Amino acid sequence: MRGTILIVDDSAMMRKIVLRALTLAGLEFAKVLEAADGAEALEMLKAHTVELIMCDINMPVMNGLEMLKNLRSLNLAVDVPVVMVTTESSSEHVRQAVAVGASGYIRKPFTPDQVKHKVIPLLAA
Amino acid sequence: MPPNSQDQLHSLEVFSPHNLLCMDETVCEIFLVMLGIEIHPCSAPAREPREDDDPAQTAIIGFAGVISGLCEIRLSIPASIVVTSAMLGGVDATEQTEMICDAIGELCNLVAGGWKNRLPELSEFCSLTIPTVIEGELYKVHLPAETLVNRRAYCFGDHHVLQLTLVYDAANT
Repeated sequence: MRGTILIVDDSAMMRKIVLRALTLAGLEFAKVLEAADGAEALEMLKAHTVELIMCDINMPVMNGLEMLKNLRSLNLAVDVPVVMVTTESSSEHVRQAVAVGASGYIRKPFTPDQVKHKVIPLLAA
Repeated sequence: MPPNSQDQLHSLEVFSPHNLLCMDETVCEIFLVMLGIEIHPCSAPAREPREDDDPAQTAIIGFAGVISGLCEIRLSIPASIVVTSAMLGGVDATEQTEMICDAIGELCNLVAGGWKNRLPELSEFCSLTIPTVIEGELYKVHLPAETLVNRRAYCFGDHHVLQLTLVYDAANT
């Protein structure tokens, strides 16, 4: 059993799908935090220590890339892997995500196996 | 480099057989991978909503950038419940109206995003809007005269049909 995960997506449905994919991949977390946008996620990270962040890019209020920039500038969740989970898979989006500190990138639609192969190496590192 | 001349924009041939085949493949992949449901293009008449239609859920996402247009999906309420329940991993979604709207919006996002990501001329230079979900069936969409429309239908499960409409606004692209 892992510690705490934060899933950031404006779709409650997609948050459930991401969590289910992680569970099917054999990754169970003791505590699951959910945020509907980047701003809400930043507030949660000020109060909680997490082991993994799964984050959408296109969200209202504060998108995933902005959230990552703020995360780094506020020195929050240092060394916590952040995996972007999004339909946007252009090389420019990937480049931007890596530039602001994303540890991994998963394109929707995804299988539990794809999630497993992207996430487990990050947690083991 | 993004397409930057009229010739290049016209050459995109947004509704070419190849691009429409990509849409069919996208829908099938999403249903199989994310929902565990087999779906296939079918001959059900893809059309505008009618007065005698069953209550439905409609989700719309806009394309902006190298093309201007939108992607619309429409499902009857029973079909929406099947899709939502599958997304939830088999949990009955019958009473979960908010979750059904969320699911149909996300499905539209996956379809529109998945389609454009398969097309190199669109993937780098086209963005998606957030999804809008409409409940009810008696709405009328008015489109500019130069708009191109492609309607498609996909069948799954117990006689359920996914109606998909692609709109390409040639005048504003």
